[in-house]
Amino acid sequence: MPKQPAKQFLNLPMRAVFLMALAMFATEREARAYTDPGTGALIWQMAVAGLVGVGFYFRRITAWFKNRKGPKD
Amino acid sequence: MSQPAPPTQAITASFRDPAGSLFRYQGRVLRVVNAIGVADLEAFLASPAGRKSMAAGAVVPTRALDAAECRELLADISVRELYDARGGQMILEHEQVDFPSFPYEWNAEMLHAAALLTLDLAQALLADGLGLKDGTPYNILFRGPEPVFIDVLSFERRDPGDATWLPYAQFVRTFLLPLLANQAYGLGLDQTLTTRRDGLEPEEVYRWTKPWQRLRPPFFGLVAMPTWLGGKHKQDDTSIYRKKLLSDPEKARYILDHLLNGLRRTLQRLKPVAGTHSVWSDYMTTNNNYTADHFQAKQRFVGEALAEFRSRRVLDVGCNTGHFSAIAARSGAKVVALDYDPVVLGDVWRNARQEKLEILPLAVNVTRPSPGTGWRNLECASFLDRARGKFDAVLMLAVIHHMLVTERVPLADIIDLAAELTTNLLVIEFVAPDDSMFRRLTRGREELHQDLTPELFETLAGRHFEIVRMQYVEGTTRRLYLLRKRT
Repeated sequence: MPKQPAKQFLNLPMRAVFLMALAMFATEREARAYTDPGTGALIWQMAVAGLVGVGFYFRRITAWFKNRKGPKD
Repeated sequence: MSQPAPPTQAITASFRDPAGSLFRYQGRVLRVVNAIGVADLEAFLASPAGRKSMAAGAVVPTRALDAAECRELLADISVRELYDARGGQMILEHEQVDFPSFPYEWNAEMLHAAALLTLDLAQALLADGLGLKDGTPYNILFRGPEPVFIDVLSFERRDPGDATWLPYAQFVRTFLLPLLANQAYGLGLDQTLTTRRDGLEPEEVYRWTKPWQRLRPPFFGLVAMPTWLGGKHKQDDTSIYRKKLLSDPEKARYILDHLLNGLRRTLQRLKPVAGTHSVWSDYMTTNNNYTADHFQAKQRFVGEALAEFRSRRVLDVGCNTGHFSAIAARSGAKVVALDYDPVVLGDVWRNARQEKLEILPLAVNVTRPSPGTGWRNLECASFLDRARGKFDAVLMLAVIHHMLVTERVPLADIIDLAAELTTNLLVIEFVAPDDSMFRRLTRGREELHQDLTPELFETLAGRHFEIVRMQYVEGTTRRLYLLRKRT
């Protein structure tokens, strides 16, 4: 099984996504007839990927700090 | 409208995959692979994850035919024509799957198991730099209750910097949304998938949702966001479809793992639970007509019949909780168990899996069986085309009164169909019109079935079968017949 990302990294981005959704909900309009079937899901996947990518760097930074601290203990 | 030209090709082969075509030839399952598919296929066949998944039975055992075997096949002009038309470079042979079935015949448990297999493979292959091109249940068949991945041309080499899972939208449409529609609205897979080759669109499900539902997972990510984002996207902007590669493969892998684990969690949330009730789910415990003694006698009758004639392939029509399917499977037969209630079939599937019994439960109403679907009605054969002559024993226990009364199918036609399906035995329960369950179905229309006597039954059965033996089951209103097809 691939390693699961720790929960705390999810919370903040997911909250941001939720606020984004609320903003979109407020400006909702009818879906157009010719909407490409996969388009919405693809954009959504990329939006989540962007946020997870931020989480990735955040994890790297915290790991770096932990490693720096490590030898001194 | 002009009529489309009749098919000219001698061999019917699959055509959607640009990398190759699947076809049946003299009882073998073969696949032509062209230049687009060869490199990816070879990478898969050589990969540790590929070999492991084949050995474990998760992917159908497949081998590339050698030059001599290819020459032999290509000597047949119809194979040669197909091979040339598809730009063939190699031919694969797949191990046969006994009874092909399609997603619209499965219960929710089976679609869930197929989705899990898809994710398992997608994640296992990542370690070898491979991935899936598509994410559809049509990549999967069932052997007994176990899913097996059959489309070996679905595997491809991945760029390590690619953080996008391209099959994501299709996986959502064909697995997650039908499961969501089943869980939230009680829609069977026959209702959502028979007429929709590529599953449910988020926009379609969106219209069924209540406003508050849209903000709740899993509706939020599967339905609402794709609908809103898709609606706002400029349709002429195709930039989002361009492949985006990250410079850091570790980051790409991190994102991909996160995405696939997220899908796994969503799938877990959509897992059908045991103990769901339907009209027929309690039939075996409370709602049937048998005393314990009679039921045991019935079990003995069926068990002895199957053992005596060494039945190896059994079709159980109207299997309910699969009690008699299990008896057949325990005696070593491969069973296809039909019922129109997908909820009871969920239990049949769970039990078969737990007991490791070769039972394939299918949500098929035999009076309204799955039609041939897809292009020219030829892509997925109808249930009857797949079933005719494939079984050496057919069970029709406590079911003909439903066909006679509820569906208004004449008795002669029921027996004709049974004779088409079986090559040898028919174990059938005759239920007379004065039976209490029969009367419950007629609801005051008794006069429609007055002529239905055991004598008439025996006369009609005699056109195709000889009676091996008969036994009363419950008083005199029900009789079990063991019939053997005349040769």
